[in-house]
Amino acid sequence: MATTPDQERPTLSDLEQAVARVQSGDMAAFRQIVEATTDRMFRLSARIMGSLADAEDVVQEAYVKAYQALSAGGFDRRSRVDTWLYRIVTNTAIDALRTRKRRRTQSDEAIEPEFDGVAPAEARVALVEIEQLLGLLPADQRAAVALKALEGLTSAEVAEILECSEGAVEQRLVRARATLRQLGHEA
Amino acid sequence: MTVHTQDVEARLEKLARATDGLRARPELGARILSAVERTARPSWIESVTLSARAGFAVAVFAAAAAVVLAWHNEAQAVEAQAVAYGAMGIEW
Repeated sequence: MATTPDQERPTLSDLEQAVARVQSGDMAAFRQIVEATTDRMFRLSARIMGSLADAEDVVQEAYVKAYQALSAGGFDRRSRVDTWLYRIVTNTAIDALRTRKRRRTQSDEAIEPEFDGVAPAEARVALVEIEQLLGLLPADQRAAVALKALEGLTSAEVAEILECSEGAVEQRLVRARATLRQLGHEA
Repeated sequence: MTVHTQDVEARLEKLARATDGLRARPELGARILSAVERTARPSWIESVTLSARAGFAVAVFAAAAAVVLAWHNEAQAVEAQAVAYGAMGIEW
């Protein structure tokens, strides 16, 4: 399933050291964290949001939250740095999905933000399909599906990111699959 | 697992492979850091609020010190008066 090239992944100790430096007030160290993790966080965000423009907004907001949390001593090191970042991006994406849904309900039409960046055509088509396939799922189920089936994480990893039990993750996935079958998306 | 479930899983696997090559565009990193810097730098209202808080704390400390000093001086003055009164009594 989804894999990431090794050269993109910094070692865990690199990230841990950068986090420690940000916590002691070194802003430049946050640049290292952003550069080392942006691709992964952007991909995750795009897979949850089903839109490149929304994915950029979510990632930006998530990194701002991460910086504020680090500055305020909010990262307690109970989980790995990358898992913690995954959690912030996922939660920000879930909030954005709910806001987008409310906005669409109010305006009764889908307004897609413009994205002027370059992305492979295959990926753009796939994101449209993800939006069509997962668009009617509740945000938490959609995030669980994206993390498990698209990111290829284990149920334990998804549970740690979503801060719930593995059973709760499985329940969300079962409900999501049932909804997808009912909606006839499996054609 | 039903045939339908297998279809959903196969479709998700295909979508995962298709989006595996997604990368953030280079400008995104700069955009993120710019947003972080904006939030890290306090606005003028926050600066004024912070200055006012610091000023208030200094004023409270100064007022407390003044009260203690006044109380101390008053005690010394009363004692000096008493001593002077006693001295006058002896002279008389």
